[in-house]
Amino acid sequence: MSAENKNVILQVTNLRKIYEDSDSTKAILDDVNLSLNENDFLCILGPSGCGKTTLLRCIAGFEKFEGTIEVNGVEVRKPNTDRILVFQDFNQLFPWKTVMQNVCYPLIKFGIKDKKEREEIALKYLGKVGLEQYKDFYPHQLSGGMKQRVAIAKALAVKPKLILMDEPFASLDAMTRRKLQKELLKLSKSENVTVIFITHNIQEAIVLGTRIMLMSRSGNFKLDMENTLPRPITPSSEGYAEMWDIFNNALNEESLS
Amino acid sequence: MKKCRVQIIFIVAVIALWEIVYRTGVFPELMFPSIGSIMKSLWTGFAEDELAGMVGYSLSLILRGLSIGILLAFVLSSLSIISKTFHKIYNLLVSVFDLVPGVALIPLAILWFGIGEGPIIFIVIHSIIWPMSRSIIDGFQSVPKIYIESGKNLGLSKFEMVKDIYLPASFSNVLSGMKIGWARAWRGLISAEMIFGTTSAGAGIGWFIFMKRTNVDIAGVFAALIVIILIGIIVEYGFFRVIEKNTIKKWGIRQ
Repeated sequence: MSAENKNVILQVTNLRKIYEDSDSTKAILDDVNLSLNENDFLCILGPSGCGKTTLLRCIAGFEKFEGTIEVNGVEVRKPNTDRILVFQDFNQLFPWKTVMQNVCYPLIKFGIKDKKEREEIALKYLGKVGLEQYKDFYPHQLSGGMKQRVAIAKALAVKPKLILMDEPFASLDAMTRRKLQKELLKLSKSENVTVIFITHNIQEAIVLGTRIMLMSRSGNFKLDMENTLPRPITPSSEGYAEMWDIFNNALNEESLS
Repeated sequence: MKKCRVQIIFIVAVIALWEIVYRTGVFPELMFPSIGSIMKSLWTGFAEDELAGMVGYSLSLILRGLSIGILLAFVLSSLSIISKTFHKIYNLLVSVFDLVPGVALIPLAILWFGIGEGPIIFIVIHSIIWPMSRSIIDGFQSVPKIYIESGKNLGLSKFEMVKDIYLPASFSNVLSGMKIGWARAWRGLISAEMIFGTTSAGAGIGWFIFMKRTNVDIAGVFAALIVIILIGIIVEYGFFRVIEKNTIKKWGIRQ
């Protein structure tokens, strides 16, 4: 499991981010360093307002920042299909496109000129999230969970180097949430993707992450753990309770400080 | 049909009331013609006075003006999304010129374009371009951030953003802008036609009304008004409602 024989896909060095419009000069991200290997599933926990989303937006290329971010050795300047964001908002699909068209659209930008080929790829990924039969539906005809599934299919279809997920399941009910966690876990393995997944939910982080980090209010990482629990991980897995306690205590400390 | 039952009953009642008022003889027939004579004028208008040709001519004028006006509104509003400086200037222009009634520009239009179709098309373009631009810009500015970020995430160019994100996302505004613009242009056109009379290429429905008024054929004036209303209804239900049904209603976008 040593890092040497694995490809580093993301290298964040001395990342600093200060919001210019805020009166205080407090940095939301303060000297963040992060190195992520290919096929890692990194879950980032942290109290509200600690800068988790800002970190993701910097990696996605949406924000200006100090320091460097490199994806596969190439410096991040602006957004691109090699880093796809999946948002919490169910409305991230375009309402004027069908499910199929939503998944196909990024493929045009990705450089697949042939419409038939795009549709084949889209159908393949819709199949992976179990929604082929909904391909001609419009987003407003789908439930929240289905919309998030389409968003995941859409992200996977362009084969990004990194999928950046910003609490994608936070607005779902508990049942749907568990179901989608399982699906995502399966997909992340079969598709060999590298994921950064932001969540407030410790259970979610332990079940999904191969690596779990905790961000503090001071704008950097406080905990960084490899998740070596035997899979599949459930709350009754050996070591789950201990791990849960570690993160829960750290989070409590953060919210008290 | 079931949905419009109230409206149909209302229209029938208005017609009946009209006829009753006529028969009581409270108003002179010149001011208040009977339904029968209005219908007869409508018939003779089409059969003898070439009303159909005039309607066609008016429609061809407005179609030409509208297509230029709508195209300009799209291009200029899109530019104002791409450039902030242009946005400031264009916003000012829209606010200023939206206040100027088309008819008030007729003397200038004649001076610039001479007598003919030019000034009428100019008035139609003026009538639609400002309200349409206002609606498009308002729509562009209220596009939800999530769509913009989803688009940016794919590395779309500014042109692609306008074409594939801003336009469809603000389509309900685009449509309402078109409706307002169409109504204003239709009114402006008929006013202009009444002032110009005929052009070398033909005469429109405004000219028809003007002629009927000159001949004190008030039933004929009413007949022309009915034609104007009918065209409005056809455009609303045959065009705008169909587009709405196939776009914003289908997409589940409500305004």
